[in-house]
Amino acid sequence: MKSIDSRRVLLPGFTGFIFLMLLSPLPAQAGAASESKEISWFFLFVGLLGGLSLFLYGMERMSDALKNVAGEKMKDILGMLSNNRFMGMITGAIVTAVIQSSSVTTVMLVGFVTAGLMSLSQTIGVIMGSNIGTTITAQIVAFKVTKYALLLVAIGFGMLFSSKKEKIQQYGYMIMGLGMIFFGMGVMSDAMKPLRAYQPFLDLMTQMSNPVLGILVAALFTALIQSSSATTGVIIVLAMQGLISLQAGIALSFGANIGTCVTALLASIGKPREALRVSIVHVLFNVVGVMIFLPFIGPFSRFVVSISPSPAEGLTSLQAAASVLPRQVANAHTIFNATCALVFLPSVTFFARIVYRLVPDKPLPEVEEIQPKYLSDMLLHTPSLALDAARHEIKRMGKRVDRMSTAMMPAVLTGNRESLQTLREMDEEVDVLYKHIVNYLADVSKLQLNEYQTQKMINLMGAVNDLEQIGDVIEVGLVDLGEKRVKKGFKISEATQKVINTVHVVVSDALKAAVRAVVEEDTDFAARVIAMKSDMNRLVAQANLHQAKRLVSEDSGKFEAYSVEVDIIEKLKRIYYYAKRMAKTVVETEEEKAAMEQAA
Amino acid sequence: MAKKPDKTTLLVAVDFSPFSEEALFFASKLAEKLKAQLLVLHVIHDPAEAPGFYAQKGKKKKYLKSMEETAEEMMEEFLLNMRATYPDQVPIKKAKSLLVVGTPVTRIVEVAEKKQVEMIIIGSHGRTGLAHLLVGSKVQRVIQLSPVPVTVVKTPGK
Repeated sequence: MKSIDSRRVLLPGFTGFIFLMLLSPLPAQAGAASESKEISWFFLFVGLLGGLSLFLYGMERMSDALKNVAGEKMKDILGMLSNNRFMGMITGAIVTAVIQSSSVTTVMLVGFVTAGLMSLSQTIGVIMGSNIGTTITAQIVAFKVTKYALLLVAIGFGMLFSSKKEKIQQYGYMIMGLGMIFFGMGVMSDAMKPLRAYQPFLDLMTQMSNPVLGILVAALFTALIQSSSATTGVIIVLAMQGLISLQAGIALSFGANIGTCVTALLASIGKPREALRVSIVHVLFNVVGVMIFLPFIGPFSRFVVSISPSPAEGLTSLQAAASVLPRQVANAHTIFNATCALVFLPSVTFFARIVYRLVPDKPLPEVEEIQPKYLSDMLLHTPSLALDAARHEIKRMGKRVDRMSTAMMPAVLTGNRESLQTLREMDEEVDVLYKHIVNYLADVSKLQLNEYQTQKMINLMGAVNDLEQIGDVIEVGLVDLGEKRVKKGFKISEATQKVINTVHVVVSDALKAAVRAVVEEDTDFAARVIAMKSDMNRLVAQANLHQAKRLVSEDSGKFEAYSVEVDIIEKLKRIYYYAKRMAKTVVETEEEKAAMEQAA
Repeated sequence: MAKKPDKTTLLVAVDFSPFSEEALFFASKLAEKLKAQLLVLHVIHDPAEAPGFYAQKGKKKKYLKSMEETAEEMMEEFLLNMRATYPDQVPIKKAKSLLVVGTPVTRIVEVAEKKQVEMIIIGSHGRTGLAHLLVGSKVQRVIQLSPVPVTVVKTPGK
């Protein structure tokens, strides 16, 4: 898992770099330019490439650790606080700042929207906020702490090795990641130093002040390395060396904002409409914001200079620029994103409407084929979300089993062949969902799960199996009995029907409560199911007594009816047994969890 | 291909507002006379004008509820309420309900076509506040697009 992750980040990084090399005409001219004889292009590129790799790897480490430490909580916060668009924006900003990745926030949102937990218009505020959240990264990297980068790496590593506690280890990864980010920047910065005296490169960078060119280059670069923070990091490194003007820096950071949408957009191709809509909002918002700011880059940069710290006296112009530019670029980035979010916040409805027009609903399907609704592959990057999706799907499956349970008694006791057949068909849907959920949970089990998540996964798997068993008891067992009744042509007396129905009421209640207990992890419901055991025993005993009396009082020709009736009661007992098993796992897990918390 | 239902069906589109209550009551009186059955439809949509329309109802829960679940509960509650308020209205008692996800106007018309209903009955306005104007315009669009007659039920005094 880990190696795949770093490959995912590094590969595009390399591609991005090769792209940069192709883009730049510098190496070809290197020999010709007399003032740059001392530049070693090989080491320059190795420095840049290695620095960028360290930066990206550090980002990944830090983001992963933050996701592990805070992901679960952030998810709850996101879901709870985004009812009002302003709160949504603030939540988006905080969550993104904490987990240091707007794409993780967007993926969470896509998950919520596909599961129907959030509406698209609710997510828009959060998306706007997440842009503000990403600016924190730029502000952090604009501190010139590259000198202390290795100290952070050492501290993080020390934490990793000195403690066995998962939380401390995660914080260790986080600090080490941050150190790697700074170290990577330092390496890139050192590698770029010779460029300060290399005129063709300076000319090229001057061209970046042409906003359209700057935006294009940065957007492409960001799309290739799939990280806007890395682009911002590179821009700030350029600024540290005084290689770009503030205007160029602003244009480049605008480009990073646009390029970052590509990741989400690519990820949503072929995904449900809801997913596509969320990424389109992201694109629209980021592109429109840049378009509006574009004509005002000049005045904007002057404004940023006026509010940012000014250089110390007695420096050369290059040194002066290098000392203040990084902070100016970071500030510009922050102000731009915050302004866009605030300006567009009132127009959430407008954005939603455009997106619904661009991506309309699919027509209602003619035949409603059952398909899993919540199990999205996109969520497989975040175990907690994937488990949630499985839980929702199990609820759907449970509802179908419950419907079967409601329909089965009339069909089995008095219904005709047709109603029994309908019952069979209902189980087909249950089987389809069963298959999908089991496969999905198998995929989830391949992820890096913590102890709690593993337990949750096992529970859900158990619940799915129990539900499937219940479906089969109805489809195979009870329907067969019903068919036997129809075939032999006997009737079940009203008195007996009444007795069986009382048992069924308890079984049906138990099933409903068991599904709720699993889906909502609610021990109260679970306890209720388990407590029904005495009721169940009493009713079954009563039913058996009724049957025994009936057998002696009525003529023996009814023996076949008797055996069917007893069988029906047996099957109901089985269903209760599975429901109770589902409930028990819930109680046991909660107890274990409590014990674990106490031990910790 | 959906076969023509045996009984005349009237489609009542609701958003659980007082206007919808009025529309359903009217539809029930009409259905009684026509010996028709009622299909109560709610389109689960993105409540852009009232963000959190579904979310707020589902609060106070350990787990987040999906909009669909909340809508299901709202529909149940709505029908229970209506049945309690108008106990003698048999069509309301026997009404079937349907929840569909999508854009309200298109979905209402689509369901009307698919279920081959005789008429769409709808409240003149939807939820409260600024939404008035917007939902009113939605009713107009349903009228424009519907292949069957549309009855708009006005609520006196509101």
